Amino acid sequence: MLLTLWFCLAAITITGYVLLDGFDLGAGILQLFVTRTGAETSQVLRSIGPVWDGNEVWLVVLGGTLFCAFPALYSSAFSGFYLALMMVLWLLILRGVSIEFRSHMDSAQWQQFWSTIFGSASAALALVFGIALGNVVRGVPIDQSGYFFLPFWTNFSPTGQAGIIDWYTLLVGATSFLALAVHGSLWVVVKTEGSLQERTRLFGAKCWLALVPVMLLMTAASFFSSPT
Amino acid sequence: MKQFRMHPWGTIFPVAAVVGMIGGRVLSSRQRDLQAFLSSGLYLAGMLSSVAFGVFPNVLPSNTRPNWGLTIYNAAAAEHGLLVALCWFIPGMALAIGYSVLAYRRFAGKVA
Repeated sequence: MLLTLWFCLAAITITGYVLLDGFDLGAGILQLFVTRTGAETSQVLRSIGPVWDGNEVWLVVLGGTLFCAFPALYSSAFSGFYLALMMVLWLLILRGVSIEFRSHMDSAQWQQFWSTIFGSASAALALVFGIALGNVVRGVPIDQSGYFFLPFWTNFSPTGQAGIIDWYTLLVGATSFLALAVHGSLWVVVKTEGSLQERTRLFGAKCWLALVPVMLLMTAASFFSSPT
Repeated sequence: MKQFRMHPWGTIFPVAAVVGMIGGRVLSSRQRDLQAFLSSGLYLAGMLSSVAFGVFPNVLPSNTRPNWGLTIYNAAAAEHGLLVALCWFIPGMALAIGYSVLAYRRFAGKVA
């Protein structure tokens, strides 16, 4: 009962993180495609400005939850996904740095540079989180002592000597990318007005249309790829 | 899939995901923006809870030998530790949720 409760708490923590940080990752992605001026980019960033770093606390809570409740999972996963986790840390750092540095100099090129870094890091994080979830569903080559190590990729097949990235985990990553782009668009629509709001609404609708077939494909593939 | 066959009530999670996904699109097209955003949240929560329900009690399945995978039974801390952690988790999360509610209410509304 206690174990099930902690499993549920870990699942709730992941969900809380995705719901909250998901929309600011999505806002980061969409500003690459929707905004036309530096002022509009600033407007999108202001919509997440007061809350985006608070949202990332849920990721810290998730790490703490795994550490205290499922230490064997924490040690196996942090060792096995070492390369991917280093990448996640750098992307998180780049997001924090870019949103902070962007406002430090009144230069269009400077601000454009950091907006692009912020958007690219947000897009890569959305993809990597999906790929990580795909790895949990597909399974990993864990040995009797709980050890495993996965390279970034091998032959892109989810069977045999699979790497972190294969066609199945990429499909989950694509679903995550599109779902968070939609989620972020709906947030920015709530927070803005006028032509930026309308363009964002349209961007969200296009991402939604792309999400439907990708999600159906991913759901079908999950039933064949999961060892459980 | 086995979990969904053994406990059919779990289909509520994928159903919530589908409802949230369609709801988000429909509500957004009717310009009910806040409800559309919340509906998108329901979609994400439905997807993640479907995955959690589907893999339970596994937490890191093995794709080489099923019995080497990590489950809640072989990966968890001792019961005393879990109880103590729970006592700290509740006030900690209450603080985090309280702060989040405060921040979102303080910064509600459109941005200029």
